[in-house]
Amino acid sequence: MTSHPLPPHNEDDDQDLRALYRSLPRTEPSEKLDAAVRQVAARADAADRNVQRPRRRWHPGWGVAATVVLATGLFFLTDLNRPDMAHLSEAPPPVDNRLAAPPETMQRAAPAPVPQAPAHPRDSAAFTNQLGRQAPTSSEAAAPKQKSAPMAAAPAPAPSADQSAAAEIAPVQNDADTRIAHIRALLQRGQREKALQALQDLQRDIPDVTLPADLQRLLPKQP
Amino acid sequence: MPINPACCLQSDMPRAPSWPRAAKRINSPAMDTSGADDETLMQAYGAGDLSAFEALYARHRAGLYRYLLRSTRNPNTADDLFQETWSRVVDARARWQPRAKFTTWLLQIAHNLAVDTHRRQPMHASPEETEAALATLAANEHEQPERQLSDFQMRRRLQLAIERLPDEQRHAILLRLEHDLSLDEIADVTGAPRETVKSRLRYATQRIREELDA
Repeated sequence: MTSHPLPPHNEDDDQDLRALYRSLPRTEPSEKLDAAVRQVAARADAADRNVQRPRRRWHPGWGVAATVVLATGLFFLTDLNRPDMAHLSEAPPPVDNRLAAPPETMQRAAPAPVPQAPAHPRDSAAFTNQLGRQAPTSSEAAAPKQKSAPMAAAPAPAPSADQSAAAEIAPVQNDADTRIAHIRALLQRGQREKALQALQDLQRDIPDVTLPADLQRLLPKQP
Repeated sequence: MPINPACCLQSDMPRAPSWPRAAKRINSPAMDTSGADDETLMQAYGAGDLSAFEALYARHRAGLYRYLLRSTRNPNTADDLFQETWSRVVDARARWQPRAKFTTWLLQIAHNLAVDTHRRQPMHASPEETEAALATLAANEHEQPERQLSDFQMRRRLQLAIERLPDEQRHAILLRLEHDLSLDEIADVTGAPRETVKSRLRYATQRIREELDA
């Protein structure tokens, strides 16, 4: 074995070695190794495409549709919750019957007689005279209308004189009706004596009451 | 100055002024890979062109594999490191920037992997095993019998001489002989100073000549 001195390395000193090295077997990776590397690259490329695909799949129309649905929902919710509209969808507040009922003093006042309309035109003159004789006020004439009016529609806080008079008659009439109904109930139960007594009491308490025909027949005939 | 394996990845490191031609961005998914340089191909692959990777791989697969095989002296280890090197190239595809030569970056990855392997596993195959493997190689048919014997012996001696070199000298001489790298490029790949690389090459060359003359 011979030894060589160590001259300063020149990049061209190894030309013969490089030529000899190129004569060495040109070993290459196996096909299996090539396939493995290519599979790694292809898998990474497929992963990149899968990451990009969902972004493309998101269509702007979905965003518009979601916005419309959200806005519609908010509109309905806001409309139902508006304070000035809420009372329209609710039931009317309950009426306090104690406040709506007339004072007891009004019930005890004598009711004005309500003339009945004539059944035939020929009776119209007598009916007119009856009206003139009784001199009903305009408030009294309005009494039948008040009779059918609901209790809840009654009194204002500071009623006028006409309104007070009209309210005065309605309870009396109601009281007469109630007592008439009570008399009829007694008759139906066969308590004729009690019914007659109640009828006489009614005529005594309310002399101007107009009795129905079935009860008028029970009264003793006047000479 | 040695470059770091992360030198070509996107970072705040300034771009190398000596490498402006590959700075253009590749946006086309399909390109002509035959005439493109390595850096353009790598950028094209980062932009989603798989054929660019195929072209890069076809160019460098054999040289890289031989470098790893003769550095590690073990086919199984060479296979593992070869696949790992390309896996790192694949992983870095999106953030790779042409701030150095692609070949330098590729060899740097492989070199670092080989050095790590040497540190963990000092020796995988004996020179005798390598010699036996070399003996099974078929000679070229056009070579004459006398010439075949002489050339075969020379190749065997060269290979044995390379394998017997210390790791640092072997890596340096393989980068020189296999890839024709300059002193500066070898310094970049190995991370050693230029003068150190020059000294390693000088000693490696002397030892190989001694083996060949023996």
